[in-house]
Order: sequence, then C-alpha cells, then structure tokens
Amino acid sequence: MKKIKSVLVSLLICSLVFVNSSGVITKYSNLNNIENKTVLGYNFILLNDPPPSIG
Amino acid sequence: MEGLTPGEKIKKLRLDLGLKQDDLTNEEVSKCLISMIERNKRGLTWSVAKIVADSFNQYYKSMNKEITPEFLMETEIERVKKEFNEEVQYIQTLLKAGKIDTKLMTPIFDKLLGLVNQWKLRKEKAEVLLLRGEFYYSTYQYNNSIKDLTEALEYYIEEKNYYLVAYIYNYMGGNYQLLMSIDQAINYYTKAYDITLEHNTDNKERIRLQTTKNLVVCFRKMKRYDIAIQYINGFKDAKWKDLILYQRFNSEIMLLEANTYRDMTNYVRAEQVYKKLLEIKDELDKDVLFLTYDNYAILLLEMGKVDSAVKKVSKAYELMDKVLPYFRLGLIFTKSKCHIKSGRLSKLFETLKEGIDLAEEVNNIEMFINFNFAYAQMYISLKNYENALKHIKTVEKYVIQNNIKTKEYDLNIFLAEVYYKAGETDKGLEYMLKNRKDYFDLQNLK
Repeated sequence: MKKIKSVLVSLLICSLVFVNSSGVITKYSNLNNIENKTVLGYNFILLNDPPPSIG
Repeated sequence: MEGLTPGEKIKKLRLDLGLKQDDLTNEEVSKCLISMIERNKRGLTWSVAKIVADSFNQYYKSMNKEITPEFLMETEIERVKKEFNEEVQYIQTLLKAGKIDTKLMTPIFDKLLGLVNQWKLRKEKAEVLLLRGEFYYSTYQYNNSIKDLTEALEYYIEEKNYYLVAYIYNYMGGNYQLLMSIDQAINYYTKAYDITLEHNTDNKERIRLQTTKNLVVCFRKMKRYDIAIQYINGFKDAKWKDLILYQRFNSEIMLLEANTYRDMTNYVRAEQVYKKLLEIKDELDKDVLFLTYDNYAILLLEMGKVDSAVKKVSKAYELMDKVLPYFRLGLIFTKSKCHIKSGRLSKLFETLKEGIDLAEEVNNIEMFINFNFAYAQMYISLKNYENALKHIKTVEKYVIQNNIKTKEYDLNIFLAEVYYKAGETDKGLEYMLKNRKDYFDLQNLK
C-alpha cells in the first residue's frame, strides 16, 4: 500500500514539474484562471492610472 | 424586372395580367395611392406591398405562381440600405472626430433601429447596436453600452466574425472596468486576447496591446502587483510588429511599471522610470505626460518631498486643457493630498468640490465615491459629523443604486465610525458588524 502511495505521489510531482517546465503561457485565460476566483474579496484602491484602451 | 422600382414593377405586373388600378385596392389602399406608387411619387411600405401582393396572388394562384411582398419591395430594401449606410457613416465620422452630440445622435439611432427592425435587417441591426454601444461608452452610459454590445456580440459570434468579437470583448471589459466590476473586466479582456490568438484576426496586434495594458491596470487595482509585473514583462518580451502602435503602448506600460514599483514601495526603481519618461517627454502623448507628472507627484508625496510634488502637480496643471476629464480627476485628488500635507484646509475643500463636480459631470462613479469619502474623512477629523454623514449617505445611495460591492466595506466602516464618534454607539456597532460574517445562525438560541 505504501509503495502504491509513493508511486502515485511521485507521478503527481512528475506531472506538475512537466506542466511547469513546458508551461509556456500562450493564452491569458490560462494565466488568470486561479486568480479570477479571488477577485471579489478585494477592496479596490484608488489609482491615477490611464483609462481603458478600447476601440 | 431587375432594376425596376417597386412602382414600375407593380405597374408591369398589373398590365401583364390585364388589371386596372381599381383591382388592387381595398379599404386601406386607395386607387390614388396605387397611382402615386406606380409613378414613383410615393414609397412602398410593407403593409401596402402585402395587400398588393395578395391582390395579385388571387390571379396567380390559378397559374400556380406566387408574388411575395419582399419581391415587390426588393429595390426598396436597397434604397433603405443605402440610406442606412449614409447615416451610419455620418455617425461614425462624428464619433471618430470626438464630436459627440447626444441631442443630434439619439434621434438618428432611434430612426436607424426603427428601419432595421421594420425591414428585419439583422446585419445592419448588429452594426447600429455596435455603434450605439460605442456612443454610450463615450457618453459614460456604461450599462446601456453593455446591453447594446451584448446583443451585437451574439450576432458576430454566430457569424464567426472574430475580428469584431475580439473588438467587442475588449469594449465590454472597458465598460465593466469603469463600472468597477474588475472581475468581469478581466474576464472580457482575457477573452478578447485569446480570441485573436485562436483565430489569428487582423486586429490581433492592436487588441493584444490594448488588453495587456488594460489587464495591468485591473490587477494593479486589486493590489496584485505580482501579476501586474508578470503582464508588464510579457509585454516587454513579446515581439511587436507595428512599431508606431508599440511606441504608444510602450510609454503607457512604462508609466504603469513606475506606478507599480511605487505602490510596492520600491521608490528608487519607480523614480528611475519616471525620470526616463520625462527624458523623452517631447515624444510622449499629452495624456501620458500629464499622468507621468501626476503619478511622479504621488511618489514624491510618499517620499515626503512635498515641495517637489507641488511643482510636478503644477506642471501637470499646465496640460489640463489638453487632456480628457478622466485624467483630470486623478490630478485633482493628488492636489488635495498636497493641500493636506501642507495643511491648507480651505484650499483642500475647494479642490475636493472641484473633484466632486467633475466626477458627477462625467459620471465617473469610482472618483465620485472617492471624493465623497475624502470629504467625509475631513469632516470627521474636524468633528463635524453631520456633514460627514451627508457625504457618506450620498455614497450609500450610489453603492445601493449601482450595486457596487467593492465599496461596501469602506462604506460600512465609515458609517460605523461616524455614528460611534457622534455618540450613537448602537448604530455604529450595527454597521461594524455588517463587515463580519455570521458563523452560526443564533436566532433560535435562547
């Protein structure tokens, strides 16, 4: 049982490393997925930044 | 029949069947009207075309043929489309030149939407909704803009016009950002970026530059400086082909980079970038130069260099007439901060009033709230709780009306503070408790 567990854990780690090492960011959605969920908890700050660029 | 006007077409069909004008009439359509239509003196409407087609079909039925109102009106639709295009072009020119006149444009939009609905022109309808969405955005009516753009978006997704889909997604992001729904804004900017990537659209470079910059601003708003820097670095590492466009965004990204380092309290690095921007000030857009002075002043204030900050604020004030109201609001806030640091209270109230008036004029909800909060804080420090409450209550009305979740926390704390300090401790406590969740439902516990 212990062996199976350790094999599973090392497989998991391998897959994580693989994703990270080959994880070239191609899509912004990949970059934002985790962050989006946390957005509402923030109290936004005042900024003197430029307005949105559109059009 | 091709090339004939609807009137000429009706006359030809009538004579072919050996009918008189009287044969096409009923209670709603007089002989006089038919005569005028045939001589092109009157246009053909849908309802009249239907009645005339029904009259013809009484005879055509026996020949197993059918005339449709659409057939009779074919050239009429072309005429309507031509009229439509002319009006659309006119509005587009006005919008591009920034000549936005609500009184002039609203009736034109109503007329155009009437036309497209009457003639069931789907493509044209999407076109006019997109245009009106842009018009609403420039007149600060963000909710209306979202409504129109969403409807236009449905059509363009269906038509697989990804160029416009990306364009609209970015616009939606802008609307949500200005409505302070930053999560939605991020969602749409991301979608816009990804669509250009998936479908390799012609506007990909422009959209990617725009959305990258917009996302940096959004993540800064959430104080996620790490992600903001990640996007800034992504911008720097990418190979952009359109150099003119790149230059414009590069200066904005540099400004955002400096602002981000400043907010991370890395003042040395921030000042380096501001100075770099001022070295090339002749090449900068007036907007960017204005914001550079403004943000540099904020840095100097944070570093305790009030005199230098005031100088930068005056530099920005010299450009005040050359920038849009959106930019001016931020500077007014910076000026207020300078007044506080140098202890000039009367000047401060004057400046805050200037800010509130301008924010209300351009419907900038976030700034309107910020200026009111600033007022409230000043009045609290002066122990004038009545006036403080007036400003907080104004914000409360706005927060409820526009469902602004992100300002609720500050609002409740302000209310708690002012009631507590004014001696109404129970009420103060009530607002304070609104900011923590209930871990149990204790109502039934005795």
